[in-house]
Amino acid sequence: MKRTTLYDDGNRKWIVFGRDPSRGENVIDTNQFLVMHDGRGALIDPGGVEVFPSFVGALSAAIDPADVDILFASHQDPDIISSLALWLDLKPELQCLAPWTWAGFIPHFGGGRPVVAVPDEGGTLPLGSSRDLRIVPCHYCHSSGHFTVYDPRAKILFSSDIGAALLPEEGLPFFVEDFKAHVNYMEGFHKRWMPSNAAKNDWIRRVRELDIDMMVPQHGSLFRGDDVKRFLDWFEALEVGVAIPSAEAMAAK
Amino acid sequence: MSPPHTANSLEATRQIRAGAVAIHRTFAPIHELLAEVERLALNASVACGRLGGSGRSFATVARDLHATSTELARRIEEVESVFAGLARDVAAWSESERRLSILRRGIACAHATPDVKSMTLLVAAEERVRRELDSHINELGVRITSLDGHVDRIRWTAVRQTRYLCILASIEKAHLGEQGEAVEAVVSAMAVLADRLGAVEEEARDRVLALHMQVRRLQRAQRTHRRIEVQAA
Repeated sequence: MKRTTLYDDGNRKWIVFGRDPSRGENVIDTNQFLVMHDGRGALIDPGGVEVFPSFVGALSAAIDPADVDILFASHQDPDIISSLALWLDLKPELQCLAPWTWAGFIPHFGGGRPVVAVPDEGGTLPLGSSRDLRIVPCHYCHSSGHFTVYDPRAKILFSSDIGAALLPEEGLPFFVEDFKAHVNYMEGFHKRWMPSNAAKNDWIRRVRELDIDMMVPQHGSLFRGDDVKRFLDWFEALEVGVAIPSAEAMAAK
Repeated sequence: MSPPHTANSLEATRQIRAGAVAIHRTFAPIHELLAEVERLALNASVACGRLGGSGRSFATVARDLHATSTELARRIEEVESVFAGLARDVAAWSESERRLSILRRGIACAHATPDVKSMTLLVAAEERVRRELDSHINELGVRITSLDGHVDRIRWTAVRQTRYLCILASIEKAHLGEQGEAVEAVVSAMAVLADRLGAVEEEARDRVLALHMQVRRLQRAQRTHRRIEVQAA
């Protein structure tokens, strides 16, 4: 599994792990994020059981897994958090934070520990001594209980499935290099997986107020610099929840 | 810590799960048979009523048949609760196997990484899950022994009792002489029922025994594996 440091000021650090060549061919590629503060770590969307073995190996080069305190699950999907029981095997006192809507569902992935339920409004993601990581709601984009995470210090917005792209098998670089070309990999995903224009626009309004250098989704390439604004403009203009033709259109076919 | 062992264990999990499902399926007709015993007890009471005073001796059969159905219902409830526990044990065991297999893949990945801070944690986690696995296998063994006991009790309380009542009913029928025709249908239905109950119990016993042997083999394999590991260490 590859890894790239996105931000490092000596105290706060963001690292992305992904492009795992060892994953099964039917398993979608995922980006896992490690945020560190004062040597303590939080894993944002720690991934599914299939990526766990290679992720632990790659992670250990960046941090002693014993120093990871938090697993943050942006929503309930198996590629986000089905590795929960394995992380708890590794460190039973880990805290798993997830939207309250999924607090009773995620424990079905095992581990026998309760999930810390994050309220709809979001809040602070406590990491070590820091209290500046913000949990920003993005409900219905695509899950009914769903969060993104904003770090004002690193100016990084973890956007979960927003901005996700289904990349071709030949691994593309971690960062988007040609936004127009990248749209081809994102458009179908957003039209199908994002069900609500109102929810989408609400999230866009929220994040336009933030100072963002980098927007990092859970699948596909990451956006930086002007590509962040390009993405928000593109997403705002995109009609979502329209990937399935109506019954009449299906019949006409 | 040898991954090939996991592949064998996963196959053993599959076999034991299949064995547990097979026992449950074998037992499925017993609910229908219970309803049959209850219906026969009722029919026997009705036949006694028709016979009036001369049917008094057959009333004992009707009463005992009713008691047998109550007892059988209780035994079935007990067996069902053991089945639920068995399903939980197999699921827990299967889940531990899966986690163990992934943790071992993690250890292999950590071996390949130059900085292996995670190795100690992974090895400790593997040991914890393995202990958990051993305990699940032991619980499974205890549960199957208990299932064996319950099947045995069904044999005593239902199968033997129904067979005995069947003989008793035939004797009473003979005593009734010509009037015995009134209970003819009940007596022959009891004989069929006793055979069907016996067949279910016999098949269940065979399957429980086979499952028991599988778990014993697995426990032996675990112990051998552990010994080899200790020697290697």
